[in-house]
Amino acid sequence: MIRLCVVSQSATPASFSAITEPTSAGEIESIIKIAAADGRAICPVGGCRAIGRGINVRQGTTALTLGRLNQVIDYPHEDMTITAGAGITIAELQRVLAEKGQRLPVDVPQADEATLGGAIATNQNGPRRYGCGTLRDYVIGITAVDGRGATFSGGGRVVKNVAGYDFCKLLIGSRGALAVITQVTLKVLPQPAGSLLLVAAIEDHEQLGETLRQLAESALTPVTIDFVSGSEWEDVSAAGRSRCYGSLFLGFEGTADEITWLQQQACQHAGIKAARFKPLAPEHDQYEMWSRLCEFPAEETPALTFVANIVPSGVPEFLTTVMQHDPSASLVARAGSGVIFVRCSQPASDAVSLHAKTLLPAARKQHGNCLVYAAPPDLKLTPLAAYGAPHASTNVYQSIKQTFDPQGILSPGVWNYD
Amino acid sequence: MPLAQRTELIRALRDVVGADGVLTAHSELLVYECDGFTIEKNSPDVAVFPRTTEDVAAIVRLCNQHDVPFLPRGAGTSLAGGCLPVGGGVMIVLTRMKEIEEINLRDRYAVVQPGVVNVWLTQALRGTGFHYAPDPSSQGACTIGGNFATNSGGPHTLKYGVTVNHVLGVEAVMADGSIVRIGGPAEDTPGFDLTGALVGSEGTLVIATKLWVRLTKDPQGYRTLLGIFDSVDDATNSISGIIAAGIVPAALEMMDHDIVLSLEQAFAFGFPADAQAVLLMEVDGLEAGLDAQRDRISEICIANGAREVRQAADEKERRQLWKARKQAFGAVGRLANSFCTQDGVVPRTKLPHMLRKIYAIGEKYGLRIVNVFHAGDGNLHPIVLFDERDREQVKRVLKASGEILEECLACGGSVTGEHGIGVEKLPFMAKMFTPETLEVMERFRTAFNPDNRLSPHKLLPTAGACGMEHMPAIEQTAPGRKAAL
Ligand SMILES: Cc1cc2nc3c(=O)[nH]c(=O)nc-3n(C[C@H](O)[C@H](O)[C@H](O)COP(=O)(O)OP(=O)(O)OC[C@H]3O[C@@H](n4cnc5c(N)ncnc54)[C@H](O)[C@@H]3O)c2cc1C
Repeated sequence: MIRLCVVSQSATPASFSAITEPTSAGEIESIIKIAAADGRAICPVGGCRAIGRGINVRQGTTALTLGRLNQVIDYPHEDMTITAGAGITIAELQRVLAEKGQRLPVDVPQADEATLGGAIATNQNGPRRYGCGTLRDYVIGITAVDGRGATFSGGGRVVKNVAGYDFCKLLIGSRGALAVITQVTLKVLPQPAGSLLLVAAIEDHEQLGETLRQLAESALTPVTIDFVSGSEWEDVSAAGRSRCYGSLFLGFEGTADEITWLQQQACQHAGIKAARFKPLAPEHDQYEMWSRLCEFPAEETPALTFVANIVPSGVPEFLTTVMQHDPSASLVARAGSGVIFVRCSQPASDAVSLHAKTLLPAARKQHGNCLVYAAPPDLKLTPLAAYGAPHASTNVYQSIKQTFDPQGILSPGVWNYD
Repeated sequence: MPLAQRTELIRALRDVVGADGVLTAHSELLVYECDGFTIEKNSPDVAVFPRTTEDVAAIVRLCNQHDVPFLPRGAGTSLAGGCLPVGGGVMIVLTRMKEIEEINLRDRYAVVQPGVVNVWLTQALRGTGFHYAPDPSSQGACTIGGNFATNSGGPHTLKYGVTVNHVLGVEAVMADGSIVRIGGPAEDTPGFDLTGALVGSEGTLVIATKLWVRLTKDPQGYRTLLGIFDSVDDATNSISGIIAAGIVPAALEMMDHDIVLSLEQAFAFGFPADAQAVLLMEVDGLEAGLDAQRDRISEICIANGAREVRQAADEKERRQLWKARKQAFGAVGRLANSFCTQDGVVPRTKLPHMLRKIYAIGEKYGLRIVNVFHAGDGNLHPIVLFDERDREQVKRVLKASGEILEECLACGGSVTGEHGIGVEKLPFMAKMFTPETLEVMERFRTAFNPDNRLSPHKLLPTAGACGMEHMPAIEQTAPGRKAAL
């Protein structure tokens, strides 16, 4: 029985007509070939944590779960690479790596259930992305089955490799619409010796802008620069005040000496108008807080959560727009990278119109885009909400979809603006 | 190309870029017969120098109207024949598109035209506290457009990542002459990572006319070390040891005895001439963490038998060491009149085995092979020395090179870490990828390049095989590959 798809509740168990749980890549080939022959739709699902957000699963779709392709295939830890089946959960992967003092430094929400293949297909990441990068920086080899049932690969098992087209990149963020990822090779890194999370209260958007600007110029090397605000963060932001604009978290990783120096610098660092950083309040554990920052977008709520990607300097202005139009929205802005998650407080239908009228134009103004990250199951999303504003190269994306999945049987509907 | 058609095409190209933007004389086109891979040569019919994206688009449309092949070229320093105009046609040389259009420090990106030379960007950023991280050894000559197309690496890409990790977006002319923009200054364009997939496509999918590249903050400090070894084994074991200890140096480069000796003879940098191998190692980052990393690296080298580990005393010495590394290819010219560089990659723990194998292959074929390479990535550059007048020796060179690459594959590696497939390594594609994968790659290419007029016969063994029978055979000349710098 397939588990509820919580991140995007647009696909529920009931939506699928059948569920198949192949045990090998060969079986996946056969399933896809049969489906292609009958024109039946297939929707690859990992841990079902982020199943194709915005896909409106059509009748007769078969869910293909990869949970049984969960083996570690090769872990030459001294080479700092690992090859595993795409169905391994992120938590299990991290556990195996931790035994050798290593990790994949990309945060994935709901790691106990999210699979490696699913995380890649939806390009998941979290608070450490500013310092550690995203999956495109770590996936060095990939094997997948296309919409015709042909298995293909990209990259390999070495950290540097330019042979052939880079299908590793192509499948990142492909939402199961180009191919079913079956196996992945990752470059991994040693775990840092120490880490530190600091926080500063932010009074207004000017102070946020100024603090971010000064951080960008300083010698500090944060891995996390996350701004939070709204009702879900009241316990952090209120901190004795009646009303507060929000809080800015600053996360560091490194050796003990580096952490000491960074803490000293960051806490002293108070340029004109910039905020003052201090350690978390005693009631907040830093690891829990880091995990909360990671999990925020994926929380199970009936509300609509949007994600905007914009230039980092545009973050304060974008946030001001959000707060003006939905003062009770909760949000996390990965401010160093310009990626902002907004959970609207309004009913879903109002939120959809807020997106079209306000959020999307505000993101476009900052050279970016904005789309739904998670939605209630019964909400039928417009393509604009589901995929963001189409861009000039939308037809190129569509011709690539056609190349990999000529019959349109894989996760149908994705990027379909019709 | 029939004369009348050629004349008509040249006239039309002049209309687009002006008379001074079109080269047609045989003598002028000689330069464009090949890139750094000189084993195969062929002249384009025309070389054309656009100044704008619209120029490029107009040129591409003309090539389509006249049904002639065309291909982009940057500085021509590629080492795999990516710039070889197979079947002649129009070479689109992008060196006049050389503006740095924008530098945005707050949002950490720059917008550059494809003909901007790699080092110009870093020079333009000097004093700002930022730099452009990918630093191929050819950075004084190669273009960022060429780096994009080959996904170039460099000594410091060990820690900072290769070109693809620094490209945010691209404006490109498609094979049909349309202009698209993919990605841009903001991270995470919704949808799959098409920008990433276009990097390293070796000019076979699109012609990049503008690039959004990421800027990297300068590290607060460096420690640059020179490890001196009495045996190659000790040096390669140290490399494996450093990586296995979980240290991620900014750079970790190896030079063997013959390279050190030729560098000494050429430039007198002060390396011990009897060293069998030296490692150039750099850690960077916060001052607070550097001494500990330095000490740990020294310990590992000493434990693996290093004779000595020296630290560059100051910035001047550090620059001198890096200058030596970047001059290494130039110094090889003193050892032989021709040389051929391979670009295999192996898992880093396989380096000791691989170096032994390379020397054994050299002995087997009676050839001298010297090594200077990006050791921390496991990216080998065995340089096979020879005399191109000796045809029989040339055959042995090709065999020895092939055997080295076969061994890289047997170790679970790749035949190219940064130079690309081009025309040179086409025969190896079928050894690295299954027929199904090659077919999917072919389909992918066709989605962009349906008539295969854009850089035919590159990267894929099958690409261009059909419909190109009318093209003249590529001229096979003796290998005389010399580095351009
Ligand atoms: C001495 C020496 C040292 C080197 N060291 C390194 C090194 O450390 N690391 C490394 O990675 N490489 C190295 N190289 C190889 C080479 O310099 C790189 O591959 C470089 O990126 C090529 O840039 P270029 O401008 O010369 O491109 P070109 O040689 O002109 O072109 C290379 C390929 O890119 C295509 N191309 C060029 N411009 C565009 C464009 N705008 N759009 C689409 N396609 C395009 C061409 O068709 C061709 O296939 C070295 C070469 C030499 C000679």
